[in-house]
Formats: sequence, structure tokens, C-alpha cells
Amino acid sequence: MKSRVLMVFLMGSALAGCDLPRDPAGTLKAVQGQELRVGVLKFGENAEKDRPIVERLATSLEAKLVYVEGDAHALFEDLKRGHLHIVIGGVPESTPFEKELGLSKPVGPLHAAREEEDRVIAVRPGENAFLLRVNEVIEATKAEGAGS
Amino acid sequence: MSETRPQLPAEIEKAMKRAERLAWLSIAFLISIILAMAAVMGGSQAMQTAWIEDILSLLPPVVFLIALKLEQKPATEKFPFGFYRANSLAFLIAAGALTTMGAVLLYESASTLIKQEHPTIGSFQMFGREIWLGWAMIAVLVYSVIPPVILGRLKKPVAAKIADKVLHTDALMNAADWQTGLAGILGILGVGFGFWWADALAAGFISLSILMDGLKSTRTSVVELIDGAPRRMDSGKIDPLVNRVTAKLKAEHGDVNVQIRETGRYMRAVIEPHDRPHVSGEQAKSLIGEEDAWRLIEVAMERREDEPNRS
Repeated sequence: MKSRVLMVFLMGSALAGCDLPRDPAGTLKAVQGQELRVGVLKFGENAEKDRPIVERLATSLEAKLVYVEGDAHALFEDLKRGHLHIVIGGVPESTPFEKELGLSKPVGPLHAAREEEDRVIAVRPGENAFLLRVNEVIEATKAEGAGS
Repeated sequence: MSETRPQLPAEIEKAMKRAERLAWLSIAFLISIILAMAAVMGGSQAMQTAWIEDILSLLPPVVFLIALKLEQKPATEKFPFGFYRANSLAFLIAAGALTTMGAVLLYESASTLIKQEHPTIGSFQMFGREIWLGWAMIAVLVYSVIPPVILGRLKKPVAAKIADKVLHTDALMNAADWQTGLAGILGILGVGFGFWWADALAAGFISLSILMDGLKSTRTSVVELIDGAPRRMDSGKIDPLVNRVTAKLKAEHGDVNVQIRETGRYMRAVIEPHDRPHVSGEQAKSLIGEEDAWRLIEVAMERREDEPNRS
């Protein structure tokens, strides 16, 4: 009985698997053909290295890029509320804001840091479809040899 | 130092061996599940909780095995009653683990819902494609669900047969394991569909039943430790066997008090006169001395009729 429920469940999820995961707040759809709003912690080496990823992401979503600079607190708050879609420019993998952010896979070493660490890109928490797309773009950019 | 392990009927002996094997099997599976989960665990609440819970569920089979080993040791000068009670203590530990698991699960899911944390689940690369980590989590959770379903089912009848409440609690723990595993799968699928709360809500519902089971077991184990009358394995009610023994003994000996308690899986009955439950003050004084006489309340003469052989 229970195993049958499980089977139905797995088959259902396999069928639905094509367009999963989805975003609770629909970031991926919202960006498509519109604006990709990027928060930049600090224009500098880290931001420069993150840039090809963001550009590629914008192209793949046919979105216009809008950059916003600010301090971490303000940017992450805007990210959480959905005013921004992504934050770049040297987010360390071990950021203390981890719980309030969605973090991408590592994009490369964090420049100008005291300790050796990877840097990541922050997205709005829980937006798993969007995060998956960001990770795909990161891999694609890495494959081209840029962005480290 | 007369306490020796009663010789048990062959089928009970066999059931105990089987229980031991099941416990070892549980430990082996649990360790493999714990390792697999650690590899894919991400931001999923249900996943983390399922993992903590699998670590906790190592406790019952471990304490069961320890108690079983201890129980078979003969009485010593330091432990004149033998080690039957090790089983009672193990029961308390197992029940405590089950209760903790329910409480942790309830707390986690409630706090996630209240804080409205949206679980973020990343992705990993396989065969040149980016794959959502949620799928890997579901795969591991499916694996984590299968052994406990089977083991729990196998343990329950054995536990009843050898009157082992630790093993019974262990079986409840297994049930809790697969239920949370299933809740985890539902939760991650829910997150996949964009319902951030699915994860926590699924875990919350399951936690209530686990907590209830845990509290019930804890109560029974405390009853056992404070010499309460033997209880049924699955509820707080007095075991009907107690009434049967009491009735028979009263019929045989007339107006007496019958006290029955449980030490581990065994029961002990004491018959005492209904109006004079304690040793007389005079005798106590002569036995233990004036000052400590108040402490000596019972001097019982056991009537042992047979060799400890029931087979």
C-alpha cells in the first residue's frame, strides 16, 4: 500500500520533473524579457570577474541589465524583498548572511580577501529555478575559461 | 548471589537471537543512510531534520544490544539482583531519544514556518548538465525510507514475543524514520513546485505523532523504573497478565496483598499479608541497629520451587 503511494509519487514527480524546480516568487519568469537587477557590493576586481556571468545570464534571459551599488545590508535586504534579483561583487561562500540568501556554486577565488576563499553569487532565497539557471550560466562561463 | 538467568524456552531464545541480528542490521543500515544523507544535505529543513533523526535512531538499537549483553551476566556481589534492569534503563534512553526526535522535528518546522524561511536548494553537475540537488535528496530519502519500513515491521512481533520494550521503541523509531523520510520527499517536491512551506508543514505533521509515541514510551519506562505494575507494551494500561496472577495467588492464599513489578522483560510477584506490610520495628532494630531501623522495611523469604528451567 505504502510502496504504491510512493511509486505513484515518484512517477508523478518524474513527469513533472521537466519544469521543476519552480520559484516561489517567480523570479525567473519575472526577469525573462524584462530587467535583470544586479546589486554590486563593490565595483572592483571581484565585480569585474563576476560580470561575464551576469552578462551571459542577461543575454540568455533576453533581459536588460541594471546595476545598483550599495552596502551589503541594503543590497541583501533588497534581494530578500525582490527589488534585486542577484548580488555580485565578492560575496564570500561563508557569508554571515547565508541563512537569508540563496547562494550559487563557487564562481572563483575571492580577491582581496584576508583568507583564501571562494566567492559566490547571491540570489533571492528560495528561488530555486532561478538559482539553477544561475548555476548553469556559471558552469557555461567557466567552460569558456572566463570568470575565475 | 542466587540470581541466575532463567533458562528460556527454545523459541524465546531463538527470538532473542533474531532480535539481536535485527538490531545489528539496523545499525549497519542507519550508518549507511547517515553517510548518504550528509553527502546531499543542503538547505532543506526536512532533510536536515531527517538526518538528525537518523543519528538519534542509532540510540535504541545500540542500547538494546548493550542491555541484552548485560542482562546475561550473572549476579555479582555488587549487583546481587543481576542486571535485568539494564533493559528498563535502556528503555528509558530509547524512549527519551524518540521524544527528543519528535520535539526537535516540531520545533524546527514551527520555527521555519514562523520565520518564513524559504529553503534554497542548489544544484550539481552531472553528465555535463546542471541538475537540481533536490532530485539527489529525494533519491537518498527514498533509500532512507526502505530499510526502516522493513526493519520496523520485522521487529514488532519479535519485541512482543520476548517482552522487550526497548526493541518495541526501536520499531516505533523506525516507523518515525520512514515517516519523516516520506515527509522529506513530499517537502522537497513541494519546494520544487515553488511552495516554500511544504517542507516544514510536512515535517510538522509527522512530528506530532512521533512526539506522542515518545511521550507514551517515556511514561511507561518511568513507570517501570519506579516499580509500577507491569504495563502493556503499546499503552499505559496495566498488563492483563498481572490481574491473572493476582487473582490466582489470592485464590490460593486468601486475604493477601500481591505486588507485581517488572524488572526488564521479567515479572516478579511478592505476596505479603494485607495488614502488616513491613518488618516489625523490633526485628529491624535487632537486624540493623537502633539508628537505622527505620530504613529496613522488608525482609522477605523467597519461596523458590524449581530449577530455573522452563523449557
